[in-house]
Amino acid sequence: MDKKNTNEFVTKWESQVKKGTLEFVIMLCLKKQRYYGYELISDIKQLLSFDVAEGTVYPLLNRLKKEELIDSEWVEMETGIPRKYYKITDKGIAAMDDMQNYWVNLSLSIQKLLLQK
Amino acid sequence: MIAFEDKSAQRVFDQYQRQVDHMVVHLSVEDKKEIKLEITSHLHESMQRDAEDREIDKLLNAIDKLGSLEEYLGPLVADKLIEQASSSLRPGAVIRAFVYNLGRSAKRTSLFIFFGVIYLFVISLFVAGIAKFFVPEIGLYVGEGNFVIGTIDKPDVEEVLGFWITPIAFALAGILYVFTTRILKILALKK
Repeated sequence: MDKKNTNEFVTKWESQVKKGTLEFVIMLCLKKQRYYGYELISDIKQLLSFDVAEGTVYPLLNRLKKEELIDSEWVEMETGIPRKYYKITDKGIAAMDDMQNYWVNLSLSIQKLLLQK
Repeated sequence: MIAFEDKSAQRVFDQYQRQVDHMVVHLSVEDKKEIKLEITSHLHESMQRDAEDREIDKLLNAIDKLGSLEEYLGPLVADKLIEQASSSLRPGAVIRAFVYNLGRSAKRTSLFIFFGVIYLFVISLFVAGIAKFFVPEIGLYVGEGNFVIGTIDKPDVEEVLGFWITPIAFALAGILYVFTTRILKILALKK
């Protein structure tokens, strides 16, 4: 595999990893505080250097809401344009405990593999 | 609604709203309102934090960063159409969910093709129930290893239901339609 193909492969892999972990990242953020859509996307971009198309987060939020892992409410603002705030539910917190445990175990296993000579 | 001072920005925003309207045209009034308000809210917040001077540049940046409408609104509309079909059970809603979801992804397409075959069977049952009044030979034929809904020209094969075929076919079609539509939602929206 030449350098160009390797780079393409890695770029694709990175994209898959980001896509696969986005729901987890969203849930992690919402576990800390409630967010409105734009604020959540900005924080994800800043904290994790995730270059996500902003719109892709909304279908995920909708999916998490359908699963009752998160909830939302509209809050009127002085500007006249309301914000839709998302917050984690009790069911979401319970799911996050399992997800975090899984993530930690997975990270440790990968870390072990990386350190093996 | 965002109030623009720049007429060009207003025109771009109105045009964008029309594109959104077009995409959500088959959704419920509540869903349409919710989606449009969330997009407006996002664009507004994005513009507020943009360092550009001109409104039109801020708006174009916000739209650009949000991504293509088809990419972020398409999956949402596809899911909502399935939910609508399942909750309303209206044939029109089921057809719209079919049209919108076919070709969306390999999983969705194969699922909808499979369920399309079941719906064809439901339609066949319904048609058989009506057709009995015009073609009396239509019925449920059993015997000699045959189990046929329709007509068959074989000796020793007996038509067993007579005109009961109509209510039974309608009931069966109805039950199968409701069951299929509910299962379709569960399987299609399952990750």
